[in-house]
Amino acid sequence: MTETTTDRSAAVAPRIEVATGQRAVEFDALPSKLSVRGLDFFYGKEQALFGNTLEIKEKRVTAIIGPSGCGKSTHIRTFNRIYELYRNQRATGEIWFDGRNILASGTDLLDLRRRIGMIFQKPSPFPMTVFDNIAYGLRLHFKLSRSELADHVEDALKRAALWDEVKHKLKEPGLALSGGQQQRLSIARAIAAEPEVILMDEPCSAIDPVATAKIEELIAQLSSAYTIVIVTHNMQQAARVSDYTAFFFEGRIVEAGLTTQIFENPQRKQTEDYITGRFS
Amino acid sequence: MRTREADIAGASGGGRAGARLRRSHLKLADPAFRWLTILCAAAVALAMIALTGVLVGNSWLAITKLGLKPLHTVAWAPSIGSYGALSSLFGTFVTTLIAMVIAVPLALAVALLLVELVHPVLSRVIGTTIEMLAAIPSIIFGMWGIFVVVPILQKVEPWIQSTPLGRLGLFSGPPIGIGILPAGIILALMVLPFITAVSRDVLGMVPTVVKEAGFGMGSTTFEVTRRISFRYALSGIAGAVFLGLGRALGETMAVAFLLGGVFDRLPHSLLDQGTSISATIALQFGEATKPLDVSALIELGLILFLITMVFQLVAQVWLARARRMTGSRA
Ligand SMILES: Nc1ncnc2c1ncn2[C@@H]1O[C@H](COP(=O)(O)OP(=O)(O)O)[C@@H](O)[C@H]1O
Ligand SMILES: [Mg+2]
Repeated sequence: MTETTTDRSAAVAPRIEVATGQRAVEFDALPSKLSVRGLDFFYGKEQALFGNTLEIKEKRVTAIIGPSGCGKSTHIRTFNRIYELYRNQRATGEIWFDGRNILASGTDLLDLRRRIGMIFQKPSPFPMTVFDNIAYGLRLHFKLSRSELADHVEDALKRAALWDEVKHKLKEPGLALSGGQQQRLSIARAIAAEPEVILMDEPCSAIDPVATAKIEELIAQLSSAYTIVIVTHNMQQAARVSDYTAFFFEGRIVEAGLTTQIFENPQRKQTEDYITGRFS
Repeated sequence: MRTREADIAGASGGGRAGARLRRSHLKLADPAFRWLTILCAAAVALAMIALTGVLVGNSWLAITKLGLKPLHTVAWAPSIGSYGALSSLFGTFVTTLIAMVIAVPLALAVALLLVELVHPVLSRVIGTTIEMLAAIPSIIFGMWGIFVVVPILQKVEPWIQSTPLGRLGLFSGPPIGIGILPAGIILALMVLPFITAVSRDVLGMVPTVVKEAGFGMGSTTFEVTRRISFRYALSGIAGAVFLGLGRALGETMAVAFLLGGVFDRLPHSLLDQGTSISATIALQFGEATKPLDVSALIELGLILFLITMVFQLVAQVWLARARRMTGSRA
């Protein structure tokens, strides 16, 4: 039931290097941006998450790892309540975000989704120009003059390390960019709306290694300003980019903590088996 | 139940020999099928060329004798030697325009409703109903127009004339219920299912992830629909509209009787009577006595043929663009 990627990583697992030691302050001491308490999730009658509890630390990168189908996507899709687009999907429990339970009724979903941006597995430029893609969220949420708009677009593209590549292509369709560029365009588009949290659901699984390296570098840069949650099935990637890691298995969080600890000294046997690729 | 294979094997005596025979026979099946396909395609192309040839050939007398005169003459009155196409062209375009003005917004609204808002089960039921509407023969629409729409308009038209709209001149004249307006309305009903079905399909081709990304930015359903889905589907919708337009242009036959059959002048208002290209051809053919009369009518047919071909072509180009855009092969 393990994926092929997991199998491949088995050979290299002992050599996984964890690069974020310097930022690894005591886990409990840092403020949480999102606190998940007893989160259950249902697809119709089928339960996909079982009473999960998780702390997402502010301005840190949290990686969510686990085998395919264990509920990683399901979990992060509750943070912006995007699952509500589908009639039969339902979440219960609590997700605290800035002193409010976002699962409670009365949450302003439009503002929640501005403050918690999302990047999807497949690059998803809107069918419009590069400029309009970035301006999309700005036009939606802010009242800006034309020149302010242009400034904000440039700023977002710079922060997404895309400006130099697209500054002469602002009027071209977003769909004309390369896959990796499209993915950074999506990141820039989310950044432009001035979010506090950025959710990424396997953002590199549809792009090539060079583009992946660029996105990982970008994640490192962005983590000084944003809280980032990244779902990945690539454990080296989790080790490289994240401060904290949560290991999911069959809808439950088996273990969560400092990435160094999860990868070098896992407390649970299941975690160890997954990390080392000895998984059945 | 016996399978086809068993039948074939049985027919050729059964056993292994039969099976081998069948395989060797199948080796030829693929190339044969390919050739058959090519042949059919060629036949269609040939038929098109032949059709154009016949139309040109039979209207040659009119083309050479009348030149460009029909294109700037209003009245169709062969008895006094006037072969004007303008009254017909005008009626065709105005009724089509009315049809599109009514049908396009309605079709888009229904398509969006079906794709974005209505429960999938209900959406499928309504969708199928609409597709069945598209299959109703157009003459039924025409009859329905005479027996239902006209009596209603006879009541509604005086009322419109009493409102401020009545002063616009668009609605002047005796409100007898037959004329340009009912023809446009019936045409609208005829193309509505068509445009709705195609628009629904192209809107359905918008990738889920793009829509989710839209909602993920904090958009409302309306914003996602208008700014993202609609743009994604735009070229496809344009294709659908042109398909509908082409159909409306050619389908004026069903409304021949609704138009009122006035061939020698342009209508004064929406309530006035007129004609269209296909109505003129259908209603005047029996009275065409001289060879030139017949030839001129066929020339009208040629004009209609060319116009609808152009719209078909435009529609195909836009639909192809839509498919490239969404990366869909549907
Ligand atoms: N739209 C859906 N409808 C029903 N079940 C779903 C749906 N999406 C996911 N699931 C189920 O929920 C579980 C978790 O899925 P998911 O969160 O996508 O896993 P992951 O992202 O870790 O691969 C799986 O068992 C999957 O089959
Ligand atoms: Mg997933």
